Amino acid sequence: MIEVEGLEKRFDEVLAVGGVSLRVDAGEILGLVGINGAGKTTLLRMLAGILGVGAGSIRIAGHPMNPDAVEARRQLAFVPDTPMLFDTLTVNEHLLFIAELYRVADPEPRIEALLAEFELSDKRHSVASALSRGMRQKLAICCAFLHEPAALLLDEPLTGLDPPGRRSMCEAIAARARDGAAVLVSSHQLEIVERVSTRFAILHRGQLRATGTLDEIRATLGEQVDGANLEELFLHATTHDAIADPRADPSEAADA
Amino acid sequence: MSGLQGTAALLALIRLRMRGRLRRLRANLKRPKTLLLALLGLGFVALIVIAQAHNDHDPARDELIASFPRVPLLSFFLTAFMVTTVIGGVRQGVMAFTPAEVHFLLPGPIGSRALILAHLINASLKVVFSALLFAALLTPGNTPWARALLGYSMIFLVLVALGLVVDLAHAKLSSAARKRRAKWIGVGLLGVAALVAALRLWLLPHDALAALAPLGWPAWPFVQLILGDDPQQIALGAALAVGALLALLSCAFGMPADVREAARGTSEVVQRKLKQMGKGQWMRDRPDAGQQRRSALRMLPTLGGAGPHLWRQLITLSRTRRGLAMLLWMTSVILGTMLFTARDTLPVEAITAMGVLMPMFMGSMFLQCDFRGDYESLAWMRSLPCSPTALAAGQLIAGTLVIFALQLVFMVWALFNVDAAARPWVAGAVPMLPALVLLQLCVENGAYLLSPHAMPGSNGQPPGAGQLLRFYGLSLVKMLTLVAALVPPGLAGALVGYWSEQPALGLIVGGAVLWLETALAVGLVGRIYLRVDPSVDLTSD
Repeated sequence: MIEVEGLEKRFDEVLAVGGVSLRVDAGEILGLVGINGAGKTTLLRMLAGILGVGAGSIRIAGHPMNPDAVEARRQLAFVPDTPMLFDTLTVNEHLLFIAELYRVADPEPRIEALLAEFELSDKRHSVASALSRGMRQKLAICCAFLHEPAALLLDEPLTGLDPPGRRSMCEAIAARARDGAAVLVSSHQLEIVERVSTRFAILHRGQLRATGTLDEIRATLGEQVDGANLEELFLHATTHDAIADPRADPSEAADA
Repeated sequence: MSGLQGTAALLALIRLRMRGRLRRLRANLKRPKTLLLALLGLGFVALIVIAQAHNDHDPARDELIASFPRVPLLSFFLTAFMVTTVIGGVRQGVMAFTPAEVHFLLPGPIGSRALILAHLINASLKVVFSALLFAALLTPGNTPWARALLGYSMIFLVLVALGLVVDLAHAKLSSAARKRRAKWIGVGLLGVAALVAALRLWLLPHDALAALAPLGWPAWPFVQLILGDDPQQIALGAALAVGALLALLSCAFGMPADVREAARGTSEVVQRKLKQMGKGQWMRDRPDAGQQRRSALRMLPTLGGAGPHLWRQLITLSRTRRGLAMLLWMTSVILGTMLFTARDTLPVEAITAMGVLMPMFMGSMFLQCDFRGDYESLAWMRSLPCSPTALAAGQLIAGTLVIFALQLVFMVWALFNVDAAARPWVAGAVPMLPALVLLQLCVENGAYLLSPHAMPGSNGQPPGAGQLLRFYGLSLVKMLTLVAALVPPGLAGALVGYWSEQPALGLIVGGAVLWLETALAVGLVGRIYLRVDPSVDLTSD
C-alpha cells in the first residue's frame, strides 16, 4: 500500500509538487497522468525516496519513507522513465545483484521465470550495453519485479517496447497487482493507462486535479464530461484552468 | 543516519563490475587499434619508470635536486593543485553516482552510511591511479617510491573526504546560497594567504621563498611524508595528515544530512558535466537555462567559409570562461612558481621557452573551441557549402589567437630581459609562434578525429586500465607526431643558415617551411574530419 499525505516539494523558489495526498491500496493500479512539467517525475522520485520531501508524509506498506528508511525501501521497486543499467554487467549479473541487494532467498528459480516471462532467456549472458532499448526496459522491469515488492512505481514503463511487448508488459503489471502489489504507473500513453489502471490521478501544475475511477473523475469535473474517456477528461482537467497556478515559474525543469 | 545495511550488496556490485571491466578490456584488446594504443601507452609508462630508475643513480641530478627548495616548492604546487581540484569542480564527483547507481541504489534498501562507504571504496580506486601517476611524475630521484605513494594517496584521500563533507553540506543550501558561500570562502582564503605572504615578505624581504611557504601550508604535512628528512617532522606530517583525514571522515559519517538528496543533486550536475566531457566539451561553461546572451563581435568576412566558423568559435571562446580561467591559472601557477624560485638560476631563454610552450600545451588541452567541441555537429558541418580546408582553418584559428596572445606576453618580457644581441632572434621568432600553435592544434584535432575518445574516467567511474593505457598511448603518438613535424622546418632552417652562413636567412626559411607545413596540416585535418563517423557514442567509451 502507498499512502501519501500533504506532499510538497520546492526547488529553490519553484513549487514542483504542492499538497498532494493519495492512496494506492494493495492490488490496485493507479494511473498517474499529467502534462510535461506537471510534477509527475518529482512525485515519483519522492515516493521512491530518491528526492527529499519538503513537507508531508509517505508510507510504503505501512513503513514511513524518510531519507534513512531501509524497511520502506525493501518493500518498494522504482523503474525510471529511462532504464539506467550497469553497462559492463550482464543481464544475469544485474539480477544477481538485485537479489543480493533485496536479500532474495534462492533467487535462481525466480530469475529463470522472469527471464522466460520477458523473453530474455537467450540474452542472459549479454552485457547491458549490447541490449536494445526495449530489452533494456524489460531488464529494468525484471529487476523491479524480482523481489516481489509490495509497492511498484513505474515511470513510462512502456517506452521503447513494440506492440507485443507493450501488451505483455501490461499483462505483467496487472499480474503483479493481482498478486497484491500496489502499483503506480505514470505515462503519457493515456489509452494504455486507461486500459491497465483501476484508478487515476490527474496531476496539473504540481497539484492533484482529480483522483478516482473514471466515473468519480467525471463526477468531480462536472456534467459536460459525461461519457468522456481518460484522454478527454485529462484534456478537460488540464486546459480548463480551475486551479490557480501556485508556482512562481512553471518550468518543465521539475519534470525533466 | 542509519547504519550499514546493504554493504554486502554494494561489495558484490563492485566485484561484479570489476569482472565486467576485465571482460570489456579483454574484448577491446582484440581490436588492433586499441591493442596498438595500449602497447604505446605501456611504452609511455615504461619510459617514465625507466627514466625514474635511471635518475636514482645520477649523482649530479641528486645534487641539483638537493640544492632546490623542494619542500616549499612541492607544498605550493600541491596546494595549487588542491585549489584547482576544488575550483575545477572535480570535488563534485565525490558524492556522485552513475545513472545506473541512482536507479538501483538510491531507491534500494541501503543505509546512508553504506552509501557513503560505497563512495569511499569507489574513490579509493581513483586515488590509487592518481597517486601512482603523481608518484611517477613528481617524485625526485632519491625519494623512496613507497613514501611518495603514501604521501600522494593521503592527499587524494583527504580531497575525497573534503569533497564528501562539502557535498553533504551543499545539499542543505539553495543554489544561490551555495554560490554566495563559495564566493566568500574563496575570497577569505585568498585574503588570508595574501596577508600571511605579505607579512613574511615584510619581515624577510630578501627571501622570496618565505613568502611562498605559507601559500603551501595545506599541503605541508603530505609533503613531509614524501620529502621530509627529519623523522620528527615526518611523524608530525603523518599525524596531521591522518588527523585531517579522520576528522573529515567522522564529519562526513556523522553529518545529519540527507545523503540521498546530496547524491542525487551531485549526480545530476556531474552527469551533465560528463556528458559534455564525453562530447569533447569538458571545459565549456555550464549552460544557464534561459539566460540571454548577446555578442558584440560582428560577423567576419566569409573567406571561403572559414570566416563564419572562426566567428562562431570566437563567440564560443568568449563563453568558455572556465577553460580560459583554467588556462590562465595553470600557466600562472607553473610559470609563476618557476619565475619566483628559479629567476636567478635559469637563463632567460629557458624561461621564455617555457613561457611559450606551456600556454601552447595547456591551451590546446583546456581550450577546446575546435572540432573537439563540435563532435555532435560534424554531420551537419559536412552539409555546408564550404571547403574542408577553409572549415578546418575557421575551426582552429580561434584557439590559436588566444594562445598566441599569451605567448606574446612572454616574448615581450623576453625582449626586455635578453641580451641586446639576442633581441632580433626573439623578435624573429614571434611570427613563427602562431604557426607552431596551429600545428599543435592540428595534431590534437587530427588525433581526436581519428580516434574520438572521452577523457579517462568521464563515464563517472574510475578510469579502467585499458582506457588509461589508450590515453597514454594516444598522448605518446601526439607527442611523436609534433616532434616529427618540427624536424623539416628545423632541418631546413639549420641547413640554409649553415650553407649561406647567414643565420637570419635560416630563421626565415625555417619559419616559411613551418608555415607551409602548418597550412598542409590544416588541409589534412579538413580531410580527416570528412572521414569521421559521428555515430560513435563517446559517453560509453
